[in-house]
Amino acid sequence: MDIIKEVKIKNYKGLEEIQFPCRSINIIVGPNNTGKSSILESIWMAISSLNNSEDILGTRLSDIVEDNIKYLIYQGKQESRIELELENDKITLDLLYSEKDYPSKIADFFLNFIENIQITDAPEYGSDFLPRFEKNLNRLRRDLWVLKTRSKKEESKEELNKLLEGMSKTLESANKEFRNELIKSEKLFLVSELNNNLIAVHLKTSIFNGEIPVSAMEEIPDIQKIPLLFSSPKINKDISEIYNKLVSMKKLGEVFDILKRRIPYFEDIREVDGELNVLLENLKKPLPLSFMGDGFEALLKLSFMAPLIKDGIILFEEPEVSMHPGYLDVLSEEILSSSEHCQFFVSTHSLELIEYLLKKADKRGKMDSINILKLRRLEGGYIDREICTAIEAKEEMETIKTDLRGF
Amino acid sequence: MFFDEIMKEHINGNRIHVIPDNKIDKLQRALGSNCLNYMINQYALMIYGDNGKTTIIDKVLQRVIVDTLGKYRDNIHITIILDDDGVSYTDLKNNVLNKLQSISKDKSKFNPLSDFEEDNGSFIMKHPRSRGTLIIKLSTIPLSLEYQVAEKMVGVTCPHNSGILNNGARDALKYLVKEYYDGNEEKLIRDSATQFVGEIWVKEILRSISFR
Repeated sequence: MDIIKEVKIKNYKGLEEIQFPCRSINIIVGPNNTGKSSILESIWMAISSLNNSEDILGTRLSDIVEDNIKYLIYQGKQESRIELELENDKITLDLLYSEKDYPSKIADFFLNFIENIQITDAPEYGSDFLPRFEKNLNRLRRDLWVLKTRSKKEESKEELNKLLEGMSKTLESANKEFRNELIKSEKLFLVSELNNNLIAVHLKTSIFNGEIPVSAMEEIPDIQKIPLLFSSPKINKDISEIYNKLVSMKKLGEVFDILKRRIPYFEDIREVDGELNVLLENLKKPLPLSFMGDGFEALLKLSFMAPLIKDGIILFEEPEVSMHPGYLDVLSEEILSSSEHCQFFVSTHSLELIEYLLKKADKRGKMDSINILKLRRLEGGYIDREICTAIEAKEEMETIKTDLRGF
Repeated sequence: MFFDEIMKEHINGNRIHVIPDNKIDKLQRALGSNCLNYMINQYALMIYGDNGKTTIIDKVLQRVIVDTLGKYRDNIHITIILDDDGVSYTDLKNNVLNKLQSISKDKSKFNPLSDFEEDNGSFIMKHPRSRGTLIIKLSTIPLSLEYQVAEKMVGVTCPHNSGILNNGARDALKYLVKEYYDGNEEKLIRDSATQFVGEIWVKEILRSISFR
């Protein structure tokens, strides 16, 4: 299934400009620091922008991208654009960076947001700069205490009004200072559009921990949210969380069948007292999953993920980490089978994984479903790409022993 | 071996890195290494093979171009040496030209596309973002290298027995190796290299590769 037909990325991290067509399985290869992760992040950001920057496992933008927002935009530029061409739609995500002030393109939204935001909203956005307003906040606390004690006594209405007026001024002054801080702060706006219709504007600033909606459009009925999932060594999702998701979606049986078919000694997996236990052939008692190797756990995690997504997109970053080549065989089988109902973007350094995928695809007559995107760093740091079809790649590998991972 | 010997003899100070055409991963590793600049300055690289022109032009040449163009800011000279097998130079050059044109127009290889032009018998490919230039030339060997070596060495070792060439260059070489070189084919080929000093086609190849 190829939901995304084409990806275009401009000025995101180390990628100045890159464009490539997509198929059901897109293998992204290249040496370190050639932008493999940046491509996965870009796709995640653009697709998740249809769903308030969150994916099916609750991964959020702040789990994906670094806090140092300045480096999200290609050196010295102020704007980055990610465009995804779908069958009938086009998703555009603009990242607009501003060291201070705000870009004119989103001025109206931002000023409206600024006008309405209160210092009392700050904790909700995970702000860690409230201590800067300590003086104002202390005054407010003191006034509140006074108000509380005096209201019990019979104070004159005039005095109470005076106190309230004072508090209101303090609050206003705190809000003013807070808004000024916000305006002056380093900011990144994420502006997402579907077919040139604005979906949402999110703001990531140096003073808030997460990203906050500056303007979310009212539900647009045409928006078809695309199920999305990102598996990366950087994102530490607890396997129990994914297991529970499978249980709630009644997909566990489906996964068991697959695992039993592909791992001959696998019997069962159950949650006991909040911990996952695995039953293997010839074992009388199940073993806690934590006793199994990292590779087995990684394979389970990835096998759990694919059935969660129907008609959606799965992003795998270096799925081979900790895995024995035998498990890579199982994983490639899983990717190929699941590609019937979802689209994969897989970044890898594993030649074995690529070879397994090509071999299995060839056997099943599914070579057309694979694209290999090879990234390379050129003189001066420019990152270029080459697109190889699976047929081309296999031929090259066989005749001249090209290393498909590229260099 | 033949060109290794020829280049050693005639290109002073050059070290030659030799890669068979079915082990291109070795070239890729070299291109990906941290000492690429040093290697380019210090070594000549030779890719050889007897898997046919299609492999050399369609597979090896394409991989070399895609993996080198833009990797190094200065000019990189590539000389393609082909047996002509009785085909005219113009026809072989057109084959190479067609392949290079198709690579330069192939958006899957370079985007934006690389610039391509022909200048004074050389093909020039420039990286679209001024990140290096490849200068590609074609040299040919009359009939085949195998034939040239066999013919030359029959003349040197057994001029009275030139009839052995009638069974084909390969059989003639096998005969010479067995009768005069104790089964050491490499020695025969390396020895033959010294016999070609004045040959026009050898001079042409040397001129082409010593230009770098």
